[in-house]
Amino acid sequence: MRGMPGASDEDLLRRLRSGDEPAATALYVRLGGAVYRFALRMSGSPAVAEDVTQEVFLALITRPERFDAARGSLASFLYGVARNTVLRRLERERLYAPWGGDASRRSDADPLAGLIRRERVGLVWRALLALPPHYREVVVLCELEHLSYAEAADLLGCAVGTVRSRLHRGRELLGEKLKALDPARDDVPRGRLEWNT
Amino acid sequence: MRCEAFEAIVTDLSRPEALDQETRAGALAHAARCPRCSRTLAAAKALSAELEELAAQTAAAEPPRRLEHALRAAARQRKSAPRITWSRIGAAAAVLAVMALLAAGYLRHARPAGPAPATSATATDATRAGDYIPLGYGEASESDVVLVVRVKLPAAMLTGLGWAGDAGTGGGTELLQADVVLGQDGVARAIRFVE
Repeated sequence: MRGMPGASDEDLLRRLRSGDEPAATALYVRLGGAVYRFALRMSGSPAVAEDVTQEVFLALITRPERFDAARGSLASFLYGVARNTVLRRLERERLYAPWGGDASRRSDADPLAGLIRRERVGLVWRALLALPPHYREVVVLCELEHLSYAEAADLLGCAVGTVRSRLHRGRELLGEKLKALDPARDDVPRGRLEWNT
Repeated sequence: MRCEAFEAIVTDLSRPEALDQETRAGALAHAARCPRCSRTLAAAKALSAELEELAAQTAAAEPPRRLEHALRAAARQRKSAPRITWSRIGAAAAVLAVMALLAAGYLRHARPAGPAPATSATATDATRAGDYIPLGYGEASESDVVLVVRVKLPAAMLTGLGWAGDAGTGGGTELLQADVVLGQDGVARAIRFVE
């Protein structure tokens, strides 16, 4: 009931425009988590992520007419509003030390390995937060949110080629910053990613 | 494939939609032969794995429950608060014109039959002085008032309802102006006639 799985985003928006509170709740249940995680990954701060999420959905509730379905999906629209809100916050405030993550959700057979992994992830996040925002947002969208180049370009209002080159450069910078943060770092693949090799 | 070309597309190798099969195979074959590009590929994979780990660690992050409560409250508030739109303003102005006529009629009956004493401030005097007359449809407060609408009323209509102003001087054909104060609910709070 809360997410109203039978209704499309467009249906819910129509109902929201006529002041339907359950429709507003359903849209938030559907998309609030994604907006929150994007803001969290961009800012490294749960408090900023919460504020941004609230601003994004308040804007949707109070001025739903701002969304134009002809220009893209509702999710893209909300990401766009979230992105602008995060960037405004980042301009105003200092960067944050990244949040520690929800380590309790992961169970490591080897506690030491788990600790090392969390440390490494914390390092990656610090390096990510040190990137200039236009590189950071592309890395977050393409690598953490798993958007395609085209989806990211649509959301950012730029060309696919721009996304591609920013991601390339952003990853280079990320590698350099990680090296600076951890000079002993090696480049040996640790993950299970398959690149058809 | 040359090393420069490989380095230009190494980021795309992790994205199935970014490269065609032939280019991907060529790049991987080059990395298998070239130690330098093999290291570049290994570094790119390592970074992707770490980013994937970061994505996984933050994938379960959810906004606090209080946020949903706050947004639901905002949605409820929006539903209960009428939105001021031009069509509503127009409708309100029309309704208020009628209200003004009724108010003028009420004032005529409230006045003493004879000429008012000079010291008594009658409602008519007040309107001519430009004061607002509360209409009694609701409590007026500064924070409540959202709009002042100026309307025009035929003087002849006011005369017919007992308006004791100068409406007759123009044969009753001229229009009198009135300012009507609207509250947040669109209901008139007060009216004044403008000379």
